[in-house]
Amino acid sequence: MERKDPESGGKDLLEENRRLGRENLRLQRAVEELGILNEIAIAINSTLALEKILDLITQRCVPHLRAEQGAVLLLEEHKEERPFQTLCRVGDTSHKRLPFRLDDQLAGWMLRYRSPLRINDLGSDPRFATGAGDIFSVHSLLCVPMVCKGRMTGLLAVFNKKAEAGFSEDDQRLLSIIASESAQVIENARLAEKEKTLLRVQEELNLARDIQGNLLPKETPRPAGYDIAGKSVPAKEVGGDYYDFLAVEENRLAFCLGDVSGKGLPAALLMANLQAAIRGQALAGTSPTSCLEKVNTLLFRSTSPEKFATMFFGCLDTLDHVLHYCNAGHNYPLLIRDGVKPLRLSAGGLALGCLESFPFEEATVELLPGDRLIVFSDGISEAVNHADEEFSEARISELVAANRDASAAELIEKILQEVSRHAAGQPQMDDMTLVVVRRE
Amino acid sequence: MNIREDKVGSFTLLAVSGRVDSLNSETLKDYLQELGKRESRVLVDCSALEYIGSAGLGALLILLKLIRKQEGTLRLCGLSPRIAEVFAIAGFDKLFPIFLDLDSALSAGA
Repeated sequence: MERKDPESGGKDLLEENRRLGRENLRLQRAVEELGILNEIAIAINSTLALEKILDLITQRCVPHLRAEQGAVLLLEEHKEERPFQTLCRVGDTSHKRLPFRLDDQLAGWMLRYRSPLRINDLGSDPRFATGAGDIFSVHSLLCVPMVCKGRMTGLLAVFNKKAEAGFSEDDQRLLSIIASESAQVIENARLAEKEKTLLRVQEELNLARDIQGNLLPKETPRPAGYDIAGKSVPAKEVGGDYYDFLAVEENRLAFCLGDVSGKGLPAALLMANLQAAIRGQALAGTSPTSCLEKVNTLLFRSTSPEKFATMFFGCLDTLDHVLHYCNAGHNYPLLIRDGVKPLRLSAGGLALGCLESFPFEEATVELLPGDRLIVFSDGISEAVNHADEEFSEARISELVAANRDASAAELIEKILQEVSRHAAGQPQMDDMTLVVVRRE
Repeated sequence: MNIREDKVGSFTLLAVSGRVDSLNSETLKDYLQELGKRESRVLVDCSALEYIGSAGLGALLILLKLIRKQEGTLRLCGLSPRIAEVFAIAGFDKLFPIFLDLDSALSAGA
């Protein structure tokens, strides 16, 4: 019978006991780690609010890693000077805030090396030489990059381990896992926020579109013997084109079509200004030239040097059928008459807003029964097809000539249809506006 | 769009070629804004210009204003019939001295 030395058996047991104790501790730590990872995963997946997610991450990392402070810095796209933005910082309230200079240094290091950084004696680390007293409150740090689809999106850092030995390799491993778990979630939240901003901008644009739509005439005048229509289709939500009808006095109808250089909101703002100026002048009953001369000066004074507007302004006497007009740099309107070449209404002068004052010319033209006057913006004549071929003035004339009996409104629809057929799926590049005056 | 700058006699010769549309006119505008502060005698060669929209015309308008402020000289030359018509419609032919070609622009007085 074998007998064990009682002494040595006790030693084995003691050793086994210690081993089990260590194993137990290791398992306990692993369980804790899994616990916090799980907790973070649940917490950050429960919301799409970016700030809340960042809060949750730091709030849980700081106590678990027994740090004093934690921070998430997100990389800002298209910002070379200060690429990182500190979005969240959580710490013991009893401690001072981290100096912001350290953020910059950490960010710079991380962008360069993209690997975890663990420093337990910051004061003597040459990589982070800082001015004396500058970072007095930070003695140790652990920082890991957040990478999403191969792109560094930010960093996660904790500062000042509340233990003599400082941050351990285990701490580093855990923080790395948290960072990689969080990176995608944070990225999703950022995208969601971006989308929200875009939606808000879109809503505002829709409002602006409504406002601009209301600036256009709500009713079309219908003087005896005439059929008149107008329509404006902006390329974006809002545009720089507009048209207007103004009953100046009995038997006199003023109308105009303008095109502000540029597109979108800037053009729309200027268009609203132009429209108000024209209304003010036209209602004062002035002639086309004196109206445009005054508006020209007003526009010149209230715009940046590269902005201008082209404008056709006509004043029609519906009794003697004479149109007085002034064309300030606008595409020549076409007067389509049976059997003769289209007449281009070119008299006038320079586009509005180029020079402080300009002597505009005025011309008159008589409208005969059956005549159709087509005033249009360059979005119509310059609409291109896939071969870069413009819709052109010629097509407008042909179309109008071929539709002799169409009403003014029908002509507008026909032209717009043909332009869209011509462009065949190409995006509308410019605002399209038409005014048609047809003498019956 | 392409922009090339040279010196020819007393003029800074700027050759603008290709299409100047609303997508690239900002580039031209920035360039001309800088040029108009630096030079006072400028000749813009448009012979290889295929298209210019209103935003491009606006960029030239800035250059004109800057050169006028310096009491300098700005000339355009080599406009194709298509480009010449764009200028004529906007009334810009009344604003810019336009010459048939490079030689006539360079040899004109003052």
